[in-house]
Amino acid sequence: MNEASDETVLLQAVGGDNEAFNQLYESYVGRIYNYIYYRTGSQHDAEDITSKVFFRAFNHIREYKLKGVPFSAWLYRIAHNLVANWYRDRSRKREVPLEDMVHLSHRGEHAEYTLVKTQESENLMKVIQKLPPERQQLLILKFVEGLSNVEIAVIMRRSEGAIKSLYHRTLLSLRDSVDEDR
Amino acid sequence: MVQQICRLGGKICTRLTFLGEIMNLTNTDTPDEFILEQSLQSFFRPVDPRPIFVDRLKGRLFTEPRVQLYAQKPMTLWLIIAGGLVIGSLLILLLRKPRGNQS
Repeated sequence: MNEASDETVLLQAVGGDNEAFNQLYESYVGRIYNYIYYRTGSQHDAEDITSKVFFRAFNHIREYKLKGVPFSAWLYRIAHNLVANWYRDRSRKREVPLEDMVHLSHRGEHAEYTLVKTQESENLMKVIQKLPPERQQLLILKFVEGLSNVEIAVIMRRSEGAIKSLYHRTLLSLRDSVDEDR
Repeated sequence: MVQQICRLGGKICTRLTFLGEIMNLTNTDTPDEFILEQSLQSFFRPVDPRPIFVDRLKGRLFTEPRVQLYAQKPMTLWLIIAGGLVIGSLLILLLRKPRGNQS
């Protein structure tokens, strides 16, 4: 969905048009699910929280300001808050079913290659899990969602420069941690 | 290069040092970081939600009552008022002096 049609549909959705909200839902459900999936590491929790995100968005769409943050950023912020609640309520920080995520990443590749890649991915996953939540969020938005630094800055309520700097520091710390593991 | 120019001193030096820092911060093309970025790229692959989940959620979104919270607010208010009236009436009944015993 491009920005112009996005705005038209948003206008209609804010006005209470269910069909318009349905279009927004179809455009964003995959992206929001992905974000939550990589934050929680569980399909079940990702589905549960994704449902909550869209129910909250649906119930509060009238309060959404068209001239404020982009709709995607609004949804990501809802998702971020709900994931934070999830961590707090269940007190299970970084409890990620590692095998599920790692194997899911390498379907349909040759066995030997997959073995090496799986080992690499397991190491990488361990290192990523040790990162603070904001750095994990940054990596997911950048690599899973393919968002630009500007878009990430809006979602994370920071400047573009701060995001660049955070990204650089995240890469450095990841590199150091990977080196330590070797 | 930046450091050499910086030896000249003054405000330009400070600005160039800052520029150098920014350039270092934004430059992530060192071999290690490039490899790491590629690993991250292959690790974080988009995962499709189950179609059945997407369809069910869509169905629930438009069939379940909208904004239940707002519907509950006036109800809560009425309950508080009614409770207050009941408690108030009971207190009046209990605390008032019996008139029949006056002689």
